[in-house]
Amino acid sequence: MSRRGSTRTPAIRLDGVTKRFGDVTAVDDVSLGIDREEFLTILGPSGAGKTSLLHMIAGFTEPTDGEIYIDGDPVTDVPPYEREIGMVFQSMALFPHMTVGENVAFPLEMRRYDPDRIDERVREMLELIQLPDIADRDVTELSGGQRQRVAIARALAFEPTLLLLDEPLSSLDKKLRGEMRRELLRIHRTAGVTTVHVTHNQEEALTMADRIAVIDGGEIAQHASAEELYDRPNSPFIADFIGDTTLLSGRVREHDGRECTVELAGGEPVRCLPAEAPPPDPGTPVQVGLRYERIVAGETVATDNAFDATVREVAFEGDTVTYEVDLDGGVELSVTELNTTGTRVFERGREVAVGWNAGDEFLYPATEG
Amino acid sequence: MSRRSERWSPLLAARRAAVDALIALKERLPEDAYRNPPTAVGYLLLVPALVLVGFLFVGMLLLAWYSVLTFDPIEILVYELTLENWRRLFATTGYHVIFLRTIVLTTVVTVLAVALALPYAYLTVRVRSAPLRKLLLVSLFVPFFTGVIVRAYGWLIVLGREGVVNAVLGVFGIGPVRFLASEGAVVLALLQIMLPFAIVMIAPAIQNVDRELELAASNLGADRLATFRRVVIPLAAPGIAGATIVVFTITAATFAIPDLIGGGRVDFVANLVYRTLFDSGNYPLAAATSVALVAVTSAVVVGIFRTIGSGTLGIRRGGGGG
Repeated sequence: MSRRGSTRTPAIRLDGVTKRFGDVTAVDDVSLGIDREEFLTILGPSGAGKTSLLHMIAGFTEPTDGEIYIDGDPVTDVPPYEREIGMVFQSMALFPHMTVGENVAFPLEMRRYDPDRIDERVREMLELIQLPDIADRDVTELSGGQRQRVAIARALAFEPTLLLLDEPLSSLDKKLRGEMRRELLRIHRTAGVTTVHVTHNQEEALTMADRIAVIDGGEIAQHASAEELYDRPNSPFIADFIGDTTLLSGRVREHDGRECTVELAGGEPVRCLPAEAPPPDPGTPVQVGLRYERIVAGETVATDNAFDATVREVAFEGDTVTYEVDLDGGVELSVTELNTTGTRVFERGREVAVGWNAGDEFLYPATEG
Repeated sequence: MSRRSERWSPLLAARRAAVDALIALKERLPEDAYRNPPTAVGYLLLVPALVLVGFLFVGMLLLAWYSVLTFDPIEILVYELTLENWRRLFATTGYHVIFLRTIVLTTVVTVLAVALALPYAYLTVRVRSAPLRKLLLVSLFVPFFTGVIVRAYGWLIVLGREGVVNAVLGVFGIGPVRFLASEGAVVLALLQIMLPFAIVMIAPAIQNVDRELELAASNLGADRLATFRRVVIPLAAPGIAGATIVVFTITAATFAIPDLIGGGRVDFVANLVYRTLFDSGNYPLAAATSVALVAVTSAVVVGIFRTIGSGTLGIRRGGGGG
């Protein structure tokens, strides 16, 4: 590639990108850099502006404000067909009047490759997706997983600088989804193409992405690696959206500069060890986030915080058991325990002890409303 | 953004209204009427259509029968079998010219109508601005409110010797130019009549082309023209084939426009039949000419089916590829 490839120029950079449809702001001042060969996932609930963002990168719509750079060059005025970006649509968007081979050859014909090159490249791409013998099939005869792979082969055939995946796994059944997820990652590594993947499925995001940008209400809420996003969510929204978290409101009672005590709405004192010292001042209203799996439940518990509780609901999930428990003060918690040898499954109505260590919680200043 | 099905579209609304009416009708029918496969009641509902088509068919058979009877200037029809009418039809150069002109001009009108209808239909279906779409639709349907004869006289006023165009040309010291009684004028007038038919046939076909396929084509490197040529047109082929057949068959049998605008210089086969029948009273020859026209038109329709494939009309949908 060019010499620029060796410098730190991100493959794609969004700079203050905003998209408004009438009064509705779909994407609000998004700035984001995507490194070469990175696999970035844009994760957000439906209606968060993910598709608008993807369509702007692809060039189907123009940003109302801001600029998009590919390899350092602004592309806002470049039409989609000159952007060299491959996209896999949610519906796959395979051309129904063409065979598999013709679909994969389409972008190459548009670029006036010579016919021998096209044949060769189509064969290469079908090998990459491990379906070497289907070139002459009608796309209507393919299974969901095959259509998916063909769509990827078509999007990569012309060696795009960027691959966009719009909810690529949402139309597949659960089993196939796991398989395609590994397949996508394998193809990503083999082809070494910078990839932007959009999804509303947090599990899909965590397992696939190098980095995840969580988008909410058109804005980027957090942009970090999967581990960081899970272990240090920067807002109650992220804590709630990724992973299973109970959010409790309370008020800081006192602190010693490092550790603090929060009084929950039910009056229970909870010892917290915020990652960012110093803790909030006494009297500050806060939200305490507790991951289901960080809380332990048992006959007795030996943790910094320990409470007596009653099991209200039990959900047996096979590998795990999730309890909904009521603390004696009225606070409701959910607890997930691994179902290993020797684990007791508590039944509904039982008295149990639940607890967690200081530092296992997330502490946020309470937001208004 | 908004999906096809969610977007307000008069075409879609009209289609929905029609389908709703059909469903309402269906609900009132006895259940036997719409069983799949059809039962006796279902077949019974075919009868009115069969009777109508049957009359046409019987008429055609009668024409074919007349075409082999003998013409007599006094008795008009003599029930003696002869091939004289057909021989005359095949042997007379004047008739060849009229047949050839009909086919050539009809082909020109068909090609132009379909070519002009494609972008119009595409724009009507895909345009984002609602007022513009309404304008396109109104302009499409207004011509249907005026008859062919009215529009023919309209053209006489526009293109005549003392007409609007010549008045404008006169300002620049040009003319007067004789526009009427020319092949160009006939083609123009026919095109104006046929264009809406072509658009109405093609628009639903374009509406059925998934918009995401166009985005995909664009993403893969196809500019607008290539997207239109490689994706939209092939996928709208059923509508295009339908439009071609409708425009061709109606135009090939046209009478009024060549009569009024052509002024006897640009006769089509229908005008020939008229003259043979009413000027010379030669029933058998007129019958032979009519049958020949139907045969030629049918051959073209079969040809279109053969080239584009009858499956494209959507009749064999789901019957397997290939």
